[in-house]
Amino acid sequence: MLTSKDISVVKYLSRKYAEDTVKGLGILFGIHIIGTILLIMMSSSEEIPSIALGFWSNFPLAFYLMGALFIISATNYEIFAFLNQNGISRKTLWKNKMIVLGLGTLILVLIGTIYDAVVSSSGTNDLIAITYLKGTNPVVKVIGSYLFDVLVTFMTVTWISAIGAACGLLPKKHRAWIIFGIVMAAFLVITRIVSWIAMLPFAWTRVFMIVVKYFGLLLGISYHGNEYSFNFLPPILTMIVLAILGAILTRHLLMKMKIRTEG
Amino acid sequence: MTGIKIDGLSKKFRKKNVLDNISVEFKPNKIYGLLGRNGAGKSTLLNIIANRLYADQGTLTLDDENLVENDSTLGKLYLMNDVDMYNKSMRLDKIFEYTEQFYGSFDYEYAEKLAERFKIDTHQKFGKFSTGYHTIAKLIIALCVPADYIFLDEPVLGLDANHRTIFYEELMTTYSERPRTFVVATHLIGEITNILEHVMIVSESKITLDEDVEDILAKSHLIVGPQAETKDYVEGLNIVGKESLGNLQGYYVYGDLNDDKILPDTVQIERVDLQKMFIYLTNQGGENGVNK
Repeated sequence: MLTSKDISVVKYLSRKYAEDTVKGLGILFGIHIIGTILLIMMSSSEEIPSIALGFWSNFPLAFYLMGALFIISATNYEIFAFLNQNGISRKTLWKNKMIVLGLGTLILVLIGTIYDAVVSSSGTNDLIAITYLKGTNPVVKVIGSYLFDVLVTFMTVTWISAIGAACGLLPKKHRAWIIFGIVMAAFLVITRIVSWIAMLPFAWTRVFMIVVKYFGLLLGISYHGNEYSFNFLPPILTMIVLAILGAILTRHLLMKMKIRTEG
Repeated sequence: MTGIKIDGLSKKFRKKNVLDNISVEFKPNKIYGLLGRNGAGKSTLLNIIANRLYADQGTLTLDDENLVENDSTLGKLYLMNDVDMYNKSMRLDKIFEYTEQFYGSFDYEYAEKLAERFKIDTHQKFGKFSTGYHTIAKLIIALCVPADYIFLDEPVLGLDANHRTIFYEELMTTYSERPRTFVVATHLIGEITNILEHVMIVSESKITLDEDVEDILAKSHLIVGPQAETKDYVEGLNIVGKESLGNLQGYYVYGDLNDDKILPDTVQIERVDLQKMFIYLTNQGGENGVNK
């Protein structure tokens, strides 16, 4: 049951997130446009170079939608401070943040699904549709894909929110450097691992087989007689459990937040 | 309304005791002074009450309801201090609107009047104000928010003498028109003495004084006279400070006098400068503390 304070917090968060998202995505879109223009200008050819076209098309709508949800999930301290000043507890902030994240996920993924169905060449035949929902009718494919995308996205944003809450606990003085260091270290490790895998023969097939061997139960993927079979229910349950864990971790970290008194 | 009750509150920062087993009450409709030297623990106490920090031990209740992580009780109090909790890009009038949204109401008429008196532009972004006007902006919100318990931590920080006078006048005006509890933590004791009804002194992580101003005045004495006679007279009394002027010695005494001792003709008991008394009572370097 939502109280009048809850509704006030939801309204505030929705407005704040919308403003931050527009600013953040505006910067991303600006980089997208400027990058494309620069690549065109650097080319000596009169035609638009393929690298510029590739750069322009490499920013699908999903990138922006995920960017929006990333911005929403990660910002914590400033909102916590403002709401604390206005007599709102950390518990209420967490509860309503999850509500806004959930609603935001539903809306943004719906936009992405409609965009894919109308604009994208694959239409309604995305990866989920051709694996887990193979053989079902188009309506079931669309709804099933949407549900899967919502759960994956919501699970992702709850964990990004937890990371954002953890970053909010860092002292302001070194926070930017610590976050930068962690992101750079993660980026280097991941790119090294991916590069190493890519050099191996039949690498991605072997990776997929390893994933099925150890995580098949959770992902609903099994291998029988040279064929893979996909069960839709286990990954749904897995995503729900992971989303709940992400939400719980976010709450735990938000409850530790305190107002910084340093500059 | 039963007020705010704090029982057995303790807080450490990096193994240092900042607050040690504090038990106090803030009753409804009273103006409190929370005094103490720098680092005594005043701001920490207020931050804990406002849920900006957590206590290590102790209980806090407001009108018999738990005060920690409870929107219902948090909506009845407001803390104003030097930490800016508002978004710098937000206009002041927008902050008023959000305050109304979260607290249920806001006295826009009074806010407009105060803005005019302090000459502050409510259409300006919060981050664009100078230090003094940051304080004024927050003071206006504090005086117009419909909370029953208003905590003001160094409310005149960065204000010039004119603005300080305006603030004290408006504090008394709003208190008389709509009584509620104000708790003012400040170093400028002299300016606020006449406004306070009850005083708490925080010293070395403890509350060393918690009394009504009237009672404090009744127990405060300045014993003045020639050094030898005066020293003899104040023997055994709770001396909190002393002053010398030529041959004369003045002792600030807090507590009961010794009625069995005869007051020499050359020694006088005078009215106390309350500001000076508070300085001695909050001074760790004094000859004796409040409780000795």
